[in-house]
Amino acid sequence: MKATHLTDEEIQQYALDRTACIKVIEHIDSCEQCKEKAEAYRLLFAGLQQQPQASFNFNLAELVMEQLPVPTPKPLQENVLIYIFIATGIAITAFTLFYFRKYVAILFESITPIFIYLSVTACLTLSVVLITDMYKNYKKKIHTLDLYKR
Amino acid sequence: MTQTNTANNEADKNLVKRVLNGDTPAFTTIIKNTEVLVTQIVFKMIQPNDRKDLAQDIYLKVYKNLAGFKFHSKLSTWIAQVAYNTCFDYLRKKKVLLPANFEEEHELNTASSDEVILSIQQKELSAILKLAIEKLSPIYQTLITLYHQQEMSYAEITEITSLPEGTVKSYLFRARKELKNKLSLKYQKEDI
Repeated sequence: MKATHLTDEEIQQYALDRTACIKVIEHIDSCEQCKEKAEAYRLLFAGLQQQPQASFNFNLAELVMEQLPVPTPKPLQENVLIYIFIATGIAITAFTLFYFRKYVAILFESITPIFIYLSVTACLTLSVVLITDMYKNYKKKIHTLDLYKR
Repeated sequence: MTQTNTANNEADKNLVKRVLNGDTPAFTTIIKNTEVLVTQIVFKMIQPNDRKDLAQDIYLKVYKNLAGFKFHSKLSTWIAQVAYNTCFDYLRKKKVLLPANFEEEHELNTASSDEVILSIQQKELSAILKLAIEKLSPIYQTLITLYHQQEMSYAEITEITSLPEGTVKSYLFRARKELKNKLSLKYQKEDI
C-alpha cells in the first residue's frame, strides 16, 4: 500500500476509471482525505457529463446552403461542340489511315508483333493514367471555381 | 462496434462522393450529422457575437476542401479539426490567451474543501459548474467538452487539435484541477 497521499493525477485517473488503478485502490479505501478528493472528482465528472449541449438558435444548414453554388447543367451548345470536336478528330484519323493504308501496312510489316503489342499496351496505359489525372484536376478546379463564383 | 464504424465510413464516403459529383444538397446531411460537434467547439472557443459567422466559415471551408479529404480519419473528426483550426486562428488573431500563457489560477490547498463539493446538490453543482467552465481558457473548455461531453478518446482529440497526446492529457488534468479548485473556492467564499 502507498504510504504517502496520492497525487491529483492519480486521483483523477482513479475517478475516471477505478478498475485501471488497482495499485491505488487499497490506499484510497484506507485514506479519508484521498477518498474525499476522489469522490469530489467523480461528482465533478458526473456534473460535466450532465452539462446541457450548446446549440445555435438559427438553422446553420440553411444558412450555409444558401451560400453554396447551385449546380447548373452544362449548356447544350457546349456539349454539342465537344462532340463535334471528337467526331472530327476520329474522322480525320480514320481518313488518314484509310488513305495511306498501303504505307501503314508496309510500316508494320517490318516490326515484330510482340513489339507492336508492347507499344500499344504502353500507349494505352499511359493515356489512361494521363486522362484520369487530367480529369481529377479538372474536377478539382471546377469545384473551387464554383465556390468562388459566388 | 467495428461494423457500425464501417457502415458509418461507407455512408460518409457515399455522401462525400455525391457532393463532389455535384449533388450539393447532400451537403445538408453532412452538416446535420456533424453540427452538434462543431457547435460545441465554436461555443467553447468563440465569443457570442462571432459564432454565427465562424460556424458558416467552417462549413464553407469544409465544402471547398472536401475533394482533399482522403478518409484517413472519420469525416466528423476531420470536420471537427477544420472547426478547431478555424477557431484557433480566430483566437490567435484576436490575441486571446492560450493555455501556455495561463497562470495556474487559485492554486490553493483544497484538501479541506473537498467535503464542501460533496455537500453541493446536483442541480446546484450543474449551474455552478457551467459558470466555472466559462471561466476556463477556450482551449481548456474545448478539451473538457470533447472528452467529458462528446466522450471522445485522447487519440481523437489529438487528431482534432493536432496537439501531442501528452499535452492533451496534461491540459485536461490541469483543466479538471482548475475546475475543482474553482468550485471549492466559490463555496469557501460563500461559507465565509
